[in-house]
Amino acid sequence: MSILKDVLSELFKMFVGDAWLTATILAMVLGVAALIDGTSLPPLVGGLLLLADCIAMLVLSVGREARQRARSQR
Amino acid sequence: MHANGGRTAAPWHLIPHCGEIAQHFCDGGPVRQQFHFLGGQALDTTSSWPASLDALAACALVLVIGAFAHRPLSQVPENALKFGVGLMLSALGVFWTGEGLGVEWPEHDLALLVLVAIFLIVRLMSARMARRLTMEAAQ
Repeated sequence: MSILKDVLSELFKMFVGDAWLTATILAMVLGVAALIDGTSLPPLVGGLLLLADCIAMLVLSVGREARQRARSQR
Repeated sequence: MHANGGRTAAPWHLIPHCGEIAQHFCDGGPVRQQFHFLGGQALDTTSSWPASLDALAACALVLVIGAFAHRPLSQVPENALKFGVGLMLSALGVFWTGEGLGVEWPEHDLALLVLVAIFLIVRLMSARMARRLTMEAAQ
């Protein structure tokens, strides 16, 4: 039973390892999808926006984690 | 008439995009994509059966490669391995999410290499930034 619990916990962590990151990625993809579907935004521009957002989120997420670890070291 | 190729802006149009994201989170998309790169392009992916067989074959292929490559791979530092996997997932995730949203990437699949290069640069810079922040905190 504990193995099953571990597997389920690992699976959950795989999807939501960082709740902030998961939520922002979902919001970002939905935002870009709404822009492409609901406005006359060319899909390629939407794709580039998606890439820029992902890069920004990656940098923010790394910075956030580094600051948290730095705080815990003090 | 909708401005975007006659597609309606109904909210349920977003559902396939969510499915696309879920697929990437499950690694199914990247694995299938890798199989396509390895010669699976001839398979018809318009129905779910060939697509499922496609994914199953990709899974088997990855297992076989893993069985042969696990010894040398076990010598690679875990963080470097995670860095590489994260890099590929980021690039493939953006590529396939874009495809799901109707983006036609310039040069099609070759755009993946550009995405990998961009994410590699960003990740290396982010790692450097994280190291600097941690060292500053330690001083």
